[in-house]
Amino acid sequence: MTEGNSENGIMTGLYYEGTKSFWHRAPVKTKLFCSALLLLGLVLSVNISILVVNTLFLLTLAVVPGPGIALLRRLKPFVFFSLFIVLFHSLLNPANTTTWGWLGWEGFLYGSTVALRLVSIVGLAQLFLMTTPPGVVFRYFSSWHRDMGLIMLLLMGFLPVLKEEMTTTMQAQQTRGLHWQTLLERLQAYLTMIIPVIIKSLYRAQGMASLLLLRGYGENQDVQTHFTPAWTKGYYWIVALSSCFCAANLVILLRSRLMH
Amino acid sequence: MLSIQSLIVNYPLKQQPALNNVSLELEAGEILLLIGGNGSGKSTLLHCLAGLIPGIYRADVKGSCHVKGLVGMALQDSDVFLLPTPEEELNFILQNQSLTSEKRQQKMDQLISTFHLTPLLKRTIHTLSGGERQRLALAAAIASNPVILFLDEPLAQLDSSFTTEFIQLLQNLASFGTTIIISTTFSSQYEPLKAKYCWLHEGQIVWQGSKINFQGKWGQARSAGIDVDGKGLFIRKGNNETTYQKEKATGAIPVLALEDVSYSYGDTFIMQEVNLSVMSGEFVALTGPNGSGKSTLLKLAAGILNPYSGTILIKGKNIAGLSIAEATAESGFLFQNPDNQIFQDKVIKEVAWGLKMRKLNQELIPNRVAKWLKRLQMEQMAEEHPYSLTKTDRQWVALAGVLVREPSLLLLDEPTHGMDCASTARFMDVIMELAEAGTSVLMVTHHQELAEHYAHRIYDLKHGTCRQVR
Repeated sequence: MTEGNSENGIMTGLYYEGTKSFWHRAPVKTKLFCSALLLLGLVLSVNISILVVNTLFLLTLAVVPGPGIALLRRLKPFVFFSLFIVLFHSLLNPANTTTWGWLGWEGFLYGSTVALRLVSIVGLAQLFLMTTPPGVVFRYFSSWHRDMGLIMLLLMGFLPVLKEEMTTTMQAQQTRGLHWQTLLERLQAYLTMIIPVIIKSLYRAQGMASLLLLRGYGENQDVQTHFTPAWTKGYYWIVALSSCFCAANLVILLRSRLMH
Repeated sequence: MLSIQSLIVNYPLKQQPALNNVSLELEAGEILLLIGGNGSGKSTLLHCLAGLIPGIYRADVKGSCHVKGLVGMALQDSDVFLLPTPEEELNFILQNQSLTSEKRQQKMDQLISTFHLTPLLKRTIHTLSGGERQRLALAAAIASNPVILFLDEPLAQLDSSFTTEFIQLLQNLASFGTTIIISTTFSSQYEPLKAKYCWLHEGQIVWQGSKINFQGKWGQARSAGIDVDGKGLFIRKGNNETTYQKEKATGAIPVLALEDVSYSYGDTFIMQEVNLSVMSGEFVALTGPNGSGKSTLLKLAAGILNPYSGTILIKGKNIAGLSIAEATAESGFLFQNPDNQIFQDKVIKEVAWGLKMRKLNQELIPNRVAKWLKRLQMEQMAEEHPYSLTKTDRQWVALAGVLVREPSLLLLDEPTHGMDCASTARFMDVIMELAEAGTSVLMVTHHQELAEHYAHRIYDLKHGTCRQVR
């Protein structure tokens, strides 16, 4: 509990200012392009062992030249969620035939696939958000479409607020005596938190819509400074590496299909 | 500049119209003080004028409403923002204007110095205190150089030093031709302003005229929940003769004691070696400037945050290492925003939930809930859905949820925020009665007069140190 709170205090949005890593310096276009290639490669993963290798490769590529441990720390809640998925499928998947006590092998495999994909995708998304300042995200997406940049920016501003709201609501309910020991109690506890958070988010969305109107958004069509991000030399190798990753997965997939 | 003719506004699912046949005319450079209690329709009127009704909030609107010129507005709910930092928020507004980059920078610098924003610029908005956010919301409202300005309870949560500056600023803007409408329930705070007065009650304008003529209406206005002379909150006389002094003499254990408590956010210390105690039956107020850490201190006392060093004792028991639920076994914490906790579909269930969680005997719960709903005069809303109520009523629901547990220590975080004068007085009445019956109260408030009138003792938290001022 305490750790979560102290982290809340220092966390300033999604962007991570701690270091100026390789990924921080990389141009936004390169980053997006590489993320897309890596994601495609991941989706093409043919079986669980290749998926494990791919996930490890992706996370290493994100963590080592990127924000480091801080990124892993942000993945922590998703890891717990993933473990829950694995457990859920191992116990309850109807396809379970090879059982080991209460646990089914087929469900375990399926659950693991979902969980690994989730962790990798969230990891890539975090990498992009942690290493790209909001202003750059805004300008880049605005160059696609006028409103796109703002949508990204509002989303990025909203996520930390949402997290804060969840913490506050949880604290409020705990001061009223909320506690949990069993899994069922834990699920009920989530409900007492989710409802106020959703309602507050609806109020907030209405407030934000009002502010967009009041702050004159959309009145001047020509004010956005258009900006075309360039490919910068020195980042080609990462594009090449991502392409290889994608291509390798594609080849493995095709080969396995041909062999059947 | 601005004209409304027989405006009628109906919200869906509401019997009474929110505004009923309202007509109003304003010229350039005029200031209008729109006075009324909670639920009188002030905010609805401002929303209509600013084009938020029916554009964003659903309502049925009849009549005409003409506003000529660029509008700026500060919403009552100042915790809503678009972007992560104050700097980005203000820049966003300036970018939406056709300004050269030098002009933009100039305007930015001007806003920063007028609203004392330098230390806040790079911080995340949701970590700012209520008063700091209010300053930013006001800066944002005037950033686009509007010719018409709508301010919904603009002085809420502001430090008194800045209040004076801000009123002067409004007067200056008006002298340059800006039309300003301010809605408030505390008309006395705007005494220095040269303004027309307009009194709204249950959706209708009941009186319009000058400040001096308004004095003749004070009696009626006061009974409608308006604070006309700054004394409306003090219907009940504070009582300083309580048992706590006797207890102190006999060396009784305080209900709450903070001993040499320090707290830090990352590397910065919010407070250092704070000592504070609350005896049984004592009402202690905690005041201090915006962002000084008042709410943080309250959260420490509830075990929500853990101190960097020092000990926190509740009835002599150290709460270090306890879960929040365990640490608040003897205390009740009222958060500023009631929407942090309301999740049931009926008021009565919402109020009962805390008792269920604390494992009170099932058979006793209905009686206990009924008793407190009656005591807080809330019986008629027992079966209603909490979110169909007004925000002030939801604040009462949240309070009922805390009081129903009958805790021996109450921790209140700006509980009267957004309440009109009548509700505030009623609220303080309840709290004082509880204190007289032996409950200890620690209340965070920015409202100096409120603290001075009611509290037995006052602590002031400033620059990380806490000292008793009375």
